[in-house]
Amino acid sequence: MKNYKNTFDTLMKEVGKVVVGQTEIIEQIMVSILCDSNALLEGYPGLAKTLAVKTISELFDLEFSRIQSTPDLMPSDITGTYIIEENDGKRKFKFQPGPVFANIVLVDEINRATPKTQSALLESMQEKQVTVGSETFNLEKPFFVLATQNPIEQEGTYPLPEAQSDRFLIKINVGYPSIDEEKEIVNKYAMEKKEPKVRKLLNKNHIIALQAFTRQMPIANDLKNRVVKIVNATRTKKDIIQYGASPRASIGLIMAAKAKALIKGRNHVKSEDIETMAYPVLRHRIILNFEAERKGMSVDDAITEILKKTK
Amino acid sequence: MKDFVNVIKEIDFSFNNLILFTNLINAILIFLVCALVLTLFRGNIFYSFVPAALYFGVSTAIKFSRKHYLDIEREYPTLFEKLRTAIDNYKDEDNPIVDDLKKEVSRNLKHVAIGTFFASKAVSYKILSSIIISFLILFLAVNNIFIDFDKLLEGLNGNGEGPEKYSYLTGNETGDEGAVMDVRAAGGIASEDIYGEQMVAQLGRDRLDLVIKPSSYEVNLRDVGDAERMDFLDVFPDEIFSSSSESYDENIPKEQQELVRNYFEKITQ
Repeated sequence: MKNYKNTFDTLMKEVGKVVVGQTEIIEQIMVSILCDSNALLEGYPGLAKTLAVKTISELFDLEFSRIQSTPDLMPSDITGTYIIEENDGKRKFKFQPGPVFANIVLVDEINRATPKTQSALLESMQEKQVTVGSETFNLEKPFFVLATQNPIEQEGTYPLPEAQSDRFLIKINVGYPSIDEEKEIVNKYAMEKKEPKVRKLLNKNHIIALQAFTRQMPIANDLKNRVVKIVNATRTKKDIIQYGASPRASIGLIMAAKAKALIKGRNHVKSEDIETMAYPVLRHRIILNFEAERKGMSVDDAITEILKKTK
Repeated sequence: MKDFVNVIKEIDFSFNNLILFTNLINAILIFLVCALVLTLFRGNIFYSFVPAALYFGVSTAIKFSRKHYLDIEREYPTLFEKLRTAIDNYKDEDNPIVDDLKKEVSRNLKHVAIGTFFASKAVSYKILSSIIISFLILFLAVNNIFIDFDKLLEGLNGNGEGPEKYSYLTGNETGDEGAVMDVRAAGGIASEDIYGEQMVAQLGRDRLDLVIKPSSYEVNLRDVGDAERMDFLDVFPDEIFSSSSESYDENIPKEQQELVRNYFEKITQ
């Protein structure tokens, strides 16, 4: 297990050459990759969200595509469409795959796309396949959707529906760097001419093997019970929560805790893994009621209260 | 996997033995405390087995069903959450992570000493208490010290009268036949057990208190033997004669009167 820890430490170091700080963000993106799931990054502009995702894709030698969401973005712009191709005087329809046909798909400002376009991503995120017309196309493994969201500039945006936000394993809050980190950013990008590059450390097969390894991580029965209690508490704590998380959150939290344990180089899941991952896994699946919002309570505060209650 | 299964079995076996021993000590202590109380109130000492047996059975069943590995994790923080994960997942074969975990846990378990879970101080105090209570029971029994529950109740009720009239039935169990005796006339309290009780005997108009101490009763079997063969005289003593003209007059010789008096004096001692 020490070898795995060394591998992930090397990965973090390599990403650190390009992205200054944000180690927690990088770690949580790695968790979503190991869980073979998707992540939603929310933060203000200019916090290296896109840079982080692009760097990780270079690290893993994965095909990367980027979709910039706008209100006029159509579903076919994402999934692809049939085009008429003329060859030797004969015309035939040929499927032109869209940007979703990649290993890592970065959807920038997903809340700016229309609900119709957002739902086009649903099938690819959950089923790892795309249906165009009557034909279904399987997406190449591994496949992840990493979407970003801007918490400001909400005018003219379309908040993600519950059905779609539930398909993201984790919601990562990207914060501002510290003063020292910002100084380093300035030195790296405002002074140095050379753009930092990363080496390819892992390939697709390594990622698939690590994903299988993550599932094999053992977890104690009482920790599993605690996870179910936590998710159930989000539905029963009616004094602050209006809508709680679904059983998909229970699966997601256990998987995320396992991935966290693997990244730390452990051979078992600890309760601190569950407590750490509860926040990114649950924060986009809970809707606070008016009373909680009136008190100025945040979703993270509600999760803290639930964790204390289920200890 | 076999090695780890043996490890789990060993843990359970060691803890179960410890539980049995501790519960046995506790059950003996409960037995002795109950026996002390029953001795004080002159109850049947065999009833002490009931609470002791109940405690032993219930406590052992509850403690056997507990998860012993939680006690180990509490005492050895390096095994915290590792041991329970290994036990919950040891059946997962062909899992390299579980194999690695089992090896690590087996290695750490070698440093676990079962003596850590044995409260030697508490057990020592319990054994000492058992010895003291045993001597106390012996002392009470030998010296016939007890609390008279009836007199205690009378004292509490403030009833200064003599013993109430009791009746007991002799003969068959239904009580249809047999004489009903007024024990009050005899001047005593009806009791099935005469040993150690104050018996009131009345001879003529005299009131005598008799106390029989069975522990001080000695029987020398060597003195007890076959009845001596006595040769009785054919000749009647002079004092026994018949006289038709004289009215019957008590004529007990002085020696015989003294003999009777000495006899009664001796039995009253």
